Amino acid sequence: MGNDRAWGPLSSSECDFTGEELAAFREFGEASLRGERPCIEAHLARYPHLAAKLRPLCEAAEWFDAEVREFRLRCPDFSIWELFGASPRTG
Amino acid sequence: MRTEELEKLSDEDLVRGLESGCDAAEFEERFRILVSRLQPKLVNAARRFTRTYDEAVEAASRVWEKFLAGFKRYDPDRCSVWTWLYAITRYDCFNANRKRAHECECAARFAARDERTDRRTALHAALGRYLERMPAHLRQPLVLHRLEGRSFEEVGAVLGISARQAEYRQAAALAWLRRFAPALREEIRFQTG
Repeated sequence: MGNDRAWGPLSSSECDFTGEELAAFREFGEASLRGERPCIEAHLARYPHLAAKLRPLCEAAEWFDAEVREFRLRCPDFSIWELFGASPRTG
Repeated sequence: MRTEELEKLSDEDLVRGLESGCDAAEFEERFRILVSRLQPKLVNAARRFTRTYDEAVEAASRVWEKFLAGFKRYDPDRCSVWTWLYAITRYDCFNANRKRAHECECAARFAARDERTDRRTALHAALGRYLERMPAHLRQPLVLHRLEGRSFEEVGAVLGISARQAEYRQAAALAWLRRFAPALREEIRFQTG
């Protein structure tokens, strides 16, 4: 589960995204969300100057979407709210 | 009547005697003769409707039970004893096969449900545990966008923040989650097999 430090808040270097970085990630993130499984390296090659910031986001999105997609295939009647026990809107 | 005399009677006459209310010993003897005559044919007939020889023998036993329960309804003028027994056999095997198919279907359904429950529990134990510990302001946009498929404009409207802020928080949530991705990946694989 990782140590206590790992559960702590993100450092500024981890979450200080510029508008350009977000826009560059958006293309990858939305394609991954649609199940297109885009290639991380090919995407980073288009934005070499942003690669350091984009890579962790692309890897996390690819992994997270793949896990959820696989689970939905296995459990079609699965409700995502069961992960939380409550709506995320209530925190 | 003596056994030798009973042996000479036709199947129909043996059943007529059962219906007419003979004593217990004669009843038993008449039934024994009927069984000895018709059991091989009955098992062969049941074999057509069953998968194994043992199932056919079981079916024949059930047919004889039904015969004993309902021989008073048998009308020798309408059909032979064998025709009547064959009809009982056919319906009995049909019902048994239908019941067996239903039981198999139910068992498969229960097994599938158990598997789904296991996998759901596994994901809840793994992914859910991480998401629960994620700061709420990051988790909300992540779930609404990546799991519910809402646009950042919709996420922003739900949470009362701008679309840009929603997008920013979703990216930060992924960055937060990435710290645990290797451990979580192993955990889910381990639990779901």
